[in-house]
Amino acid sequence: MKHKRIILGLFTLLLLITSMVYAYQNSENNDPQIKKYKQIFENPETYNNTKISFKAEILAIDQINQTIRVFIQEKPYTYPSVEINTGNFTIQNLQKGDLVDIISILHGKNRMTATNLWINEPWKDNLIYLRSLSAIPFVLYLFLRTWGLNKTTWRFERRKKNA
Amino acid sequence: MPDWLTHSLVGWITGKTTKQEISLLVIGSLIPDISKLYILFDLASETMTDDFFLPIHTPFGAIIIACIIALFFQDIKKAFIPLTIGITTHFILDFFLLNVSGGMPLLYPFSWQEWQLGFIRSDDYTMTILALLAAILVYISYRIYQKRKIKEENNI
Repeated sequence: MKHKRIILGLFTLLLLITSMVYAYQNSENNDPQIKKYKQIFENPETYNNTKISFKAEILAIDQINQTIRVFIQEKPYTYPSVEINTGNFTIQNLQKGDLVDIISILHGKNRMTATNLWINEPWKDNLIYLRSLSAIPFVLYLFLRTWGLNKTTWRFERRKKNA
Repeated sequence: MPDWLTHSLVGWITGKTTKQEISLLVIGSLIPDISKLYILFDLASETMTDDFFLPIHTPFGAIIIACIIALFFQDIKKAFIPLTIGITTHFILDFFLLNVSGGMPLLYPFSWQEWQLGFIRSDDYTMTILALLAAILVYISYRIYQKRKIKEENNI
């Protein structure tokens, strides 16, 4: 068949776009994590001692009682603010507005005890992007050293020295 | 996600050790992270598009993209295999990550269930250093092997 590749390409592209649209429309209703958050905040008494993890922004810090009040930075961003007992974790270096990753145990309505707590430091996030950018020339070199695009056939062909 | 450098280095190591087409394997190892395009879209449009790009970071979506890329090569099968191996290395690495917001929906679109092992946080650069060391080790071993092979051939 003459146009086999074009038909196959269009079909796979259509399949991909369909699955992307499906995910866009349905993820909030089907995401197991969002479902779990909703159930926990609607019926906290049923989910006592349940493990829950999320990203959060610190709203207030109580150094005396070792607690922090946080806003849960998870979709749909409508959860109530919760109070977290940080237990043995040092909160001296925490500041209002800091972003943290928390794994905690639920103890009643909007109250939790942290079992793990990490501060998201912006420089570490920036370093991920920097490390990723450094891969681009490496990948381009590897690919373009081996393959060249034939503009008449629109196919990549092995370069002669690599044939 | 581990950074692209880690993914591409692990792809390169896999290609070198399995004698697959390295350049395509490395490209394959980065395919699932095409989903990170949502960052650019979100910045440009101030809407949240991460859900739209979510399928690309699943085996289903990544393999579809590998199919599309393979169509641009003379031998579709020969291009598709290393791309798929690269995709596999990507998911194996990401499987070790700890994401408090949830793991990867590996069976999407058949299931929304998410999986992760939760060993390493994505901002931890230990994985990058290990991948870099492993790549250097493989490179040196390969060079020594090549030199020995040439020497033996010359002796014969």
